[in-house]
Amino acid sequence: MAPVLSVSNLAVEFSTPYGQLRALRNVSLEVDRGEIVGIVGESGCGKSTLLNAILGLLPANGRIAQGRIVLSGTDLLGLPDWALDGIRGDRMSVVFQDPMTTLNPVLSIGRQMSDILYRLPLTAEDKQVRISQMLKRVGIPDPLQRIGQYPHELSGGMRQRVAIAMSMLVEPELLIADEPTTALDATLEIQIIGLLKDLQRNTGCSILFISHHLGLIAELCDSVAVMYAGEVVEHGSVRDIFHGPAHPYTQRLLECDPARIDEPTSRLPTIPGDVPNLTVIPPGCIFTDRCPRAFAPCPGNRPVTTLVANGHTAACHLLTATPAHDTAAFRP
Amino acid sequence: MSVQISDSAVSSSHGWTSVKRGFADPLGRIGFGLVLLLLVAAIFADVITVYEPTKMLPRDRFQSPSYEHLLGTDQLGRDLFSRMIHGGRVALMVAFPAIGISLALGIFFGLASGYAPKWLDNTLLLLFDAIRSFPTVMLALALATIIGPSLQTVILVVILFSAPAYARIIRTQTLALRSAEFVLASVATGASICRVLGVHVLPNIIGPILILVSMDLPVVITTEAGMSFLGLGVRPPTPSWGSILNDGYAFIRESPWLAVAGGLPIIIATIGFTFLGESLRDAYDPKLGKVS
Amino acid sequence: MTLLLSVRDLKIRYSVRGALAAALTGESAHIEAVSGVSFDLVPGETLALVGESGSGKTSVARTIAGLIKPYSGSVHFEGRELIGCPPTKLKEIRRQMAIIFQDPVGSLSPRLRVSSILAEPFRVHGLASSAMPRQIDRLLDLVGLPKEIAGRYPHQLSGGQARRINVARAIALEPKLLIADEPTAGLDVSVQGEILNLLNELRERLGISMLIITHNLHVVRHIAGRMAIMYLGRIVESGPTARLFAAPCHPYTAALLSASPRPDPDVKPQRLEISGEIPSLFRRPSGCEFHTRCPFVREKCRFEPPTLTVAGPGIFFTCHFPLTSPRAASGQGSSI
Repeated sequence: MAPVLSVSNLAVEFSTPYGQLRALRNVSLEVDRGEIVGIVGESGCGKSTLLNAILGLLPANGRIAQGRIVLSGTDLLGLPDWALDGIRGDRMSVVFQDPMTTLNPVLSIGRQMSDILYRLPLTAEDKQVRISQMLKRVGIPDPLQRIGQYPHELSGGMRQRVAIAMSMLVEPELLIADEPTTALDATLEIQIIGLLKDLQRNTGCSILFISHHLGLIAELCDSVAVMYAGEVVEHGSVRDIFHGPAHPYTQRLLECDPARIDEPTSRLPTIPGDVPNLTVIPPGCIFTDRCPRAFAPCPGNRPVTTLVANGHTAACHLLTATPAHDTAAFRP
Repeated sequence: MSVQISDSAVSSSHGWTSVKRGFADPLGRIGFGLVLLLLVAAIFADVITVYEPTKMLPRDRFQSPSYEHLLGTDQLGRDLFSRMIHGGRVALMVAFPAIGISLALGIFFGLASGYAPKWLDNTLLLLFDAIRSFPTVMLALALATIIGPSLQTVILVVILFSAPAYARIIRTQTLALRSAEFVLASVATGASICRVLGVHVLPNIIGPILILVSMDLPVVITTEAGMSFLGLGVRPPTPSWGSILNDGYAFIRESPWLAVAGGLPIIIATIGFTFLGESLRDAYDPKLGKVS
Repeated sequence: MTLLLSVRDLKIRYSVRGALAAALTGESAHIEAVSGVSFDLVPGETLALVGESGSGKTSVARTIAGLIKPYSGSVHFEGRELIGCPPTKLKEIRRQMAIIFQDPVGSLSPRLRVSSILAEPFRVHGLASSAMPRQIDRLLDLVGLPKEIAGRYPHQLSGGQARRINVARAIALEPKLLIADEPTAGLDVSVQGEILNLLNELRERLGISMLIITHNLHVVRHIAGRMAIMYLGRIVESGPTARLFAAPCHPYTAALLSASPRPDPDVKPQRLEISGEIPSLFRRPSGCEFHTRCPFVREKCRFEPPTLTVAGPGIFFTCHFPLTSPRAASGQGSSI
């Protein structure tokens, strides 16, 4: 079956006063029907640029230099703006990080939700029923009363539930969740993750889940793409990534997560160095400067994406070089 | 959308960059040129002009422009070019001190009101709004009657109207910053109120205020012209754009050149300061800033 | 041992509506964000105040730093009362105490260079001298940053660098107490460790005591010897970190501990899920304030507020039906 979302060889550039900033380079990604795909990476890795490129919302100084973005057969990059408007909020929808800024503070919840259904030839009553059903589904008690309330009358967790309800109302093929729990407390975070899981199971939609939180990715996603400095450095099933990470960046990232370190220590592992300046892309591997296992070919040659196991790929010279560098040596 | 630029690429401070970006805008350059023209003309008025602005030549009344009189003469035979240039001096002599004093008062009371306890804030706000609720012309008329029409009266009127307006804007900005973490950090170190306001609050709000000021200057110049037009401002025979325009209005049938000599510089000043102010504002506001 | 910091029955109220509006609507004019918090800190110790948003932990930190005037209660620093202290004396005490705020970049004055930001504590206390540049180099070196960074503006720093500058400013006058409000907030996973290592190193080298305010339990484990869990402006459980991680008494502590998913897809979390959200401070629940969300709620909890059960010095909890028996708690606790 054709994937719901297929991004291939995507490159995005920004014109800045300091030169062309190559924010994404050769990014490929697929989201299958009914699959939850996680994108994990630290700030500056390009995950929000990727999201904006998929949504067609790149800022004025950004342009797609290369590549294709296909949403179940429709090439999004070839579409005029009006056609893209018809796809956003219909076939794909988004949940953003901060529900307070997603919701319009001067309109009631019900009004905002029925506005989304403007495309459907439904009567006001039918829309009302549909909205209250959806609110119930995302775990909002007394939906009929909530319809008349305004965003400020709801708590943070409730607001994010409403935002999710709004994006699910149109029954999208693809739900993009951009750090949907970052603004919430830990006890609410897991409630929202549980909700996304249930919604996926019940509606069969696909979810692209963007987060920097490794624990949430491990709990929610089927497969994971690890991004670093504008590239997908590793991609595989959630088990592949968390149990057998092949790329040194993934390995280091997992090591650093304080949630994995049970023994109290005053010397926590870190990744020294900074994300490189993306206006001047080095000829070799982008992670070379910070990589503890960098060797001869790394600074000069770009690593190719290599198949590690079935469905598990990584771009690292260690995978293609001599067997002396055994990637299996890493144990998280 | 976060696009991180590496540290080394970003050079000087935000304020200076925005000034440079302001001049990169063609309208900003036009504005800067016009303002420069006004300043040079006002400073070197005596060098530029041949005739005394108040010298009457009764035989040469209502002359059209000629090599001798570049803009012609008025109803008393005074050289209009000379009166226009010297009028600019008067206009700027009103505008700069009036705006300068307003700004100083506005900063003082605005910071005080924004940082003070609530009761003092409320009292000051009431005061600002009470002053601003007077109609401009009425207040100007009343003041001119009490202390007599003069340059100082014009300046006083401008201060009375501008200072509370600046104070209100500065108060709002101060209020927004007083709970900012970098301000709290300074308070927690034990810094005095003067230090907190002077080092941490003021530098962060002054940029937009200065832009506002540059856009207010033409308003003040037209206020002066307007008051002089009404006979509330500068006393004749001192040249002022407003009084030249007033004469032009009275003698429009005899010669159109009076209206030109009074109106043209007001237009130049308005356009010049407005363009400069607007391009500075656009350049200062990173959200409006275009990436070239 | 003498106490470095002693907070007793601290109450912080915020007025939310005018007195007249309150009288007309019949609702109270204020909310009590912190409702009777007490704790001690001995020299060299690190205590973590843990809680979710709205638990009042930041209010406590800011009150100790002298930024908020509490409604009642006392804060003693080395035996001297801070609340109602005259400004000149307060300034002297502030030299001994520093605070790091949540937003790494936002807590640095945007128009000042790093060198001026680091010089501020010295200037404020009249200690600026010709040796200033050397002092700044020394501070930058202490927090592991290159000297060149002194010429930069805050927006030219990365989150990790900005956080280090915050730490450098805080330790400039060699304080005895460092209050850190969410020291790892807004930082990437790979940088969080750096900051925690730095704080730990400073404590070892300079003997600074720390009060860490956080919602992130993984941070607490590696930095604090003792922790106090806050809920609705009260401490519901307090004790040695290792003990609380191993055997929490209060169900809320247990829920918080289990709320953070482990980065391992095969570990099925044994989760103590709590439903609903933190109640509004306007309508505090009756009885035990956690009863609206507690999975083990019984009839008694709804009406009778639990009293403080003290199991040892600095070890206590407020629950009618603790998950671990208090004797076990004290026994394990005192050995650490």
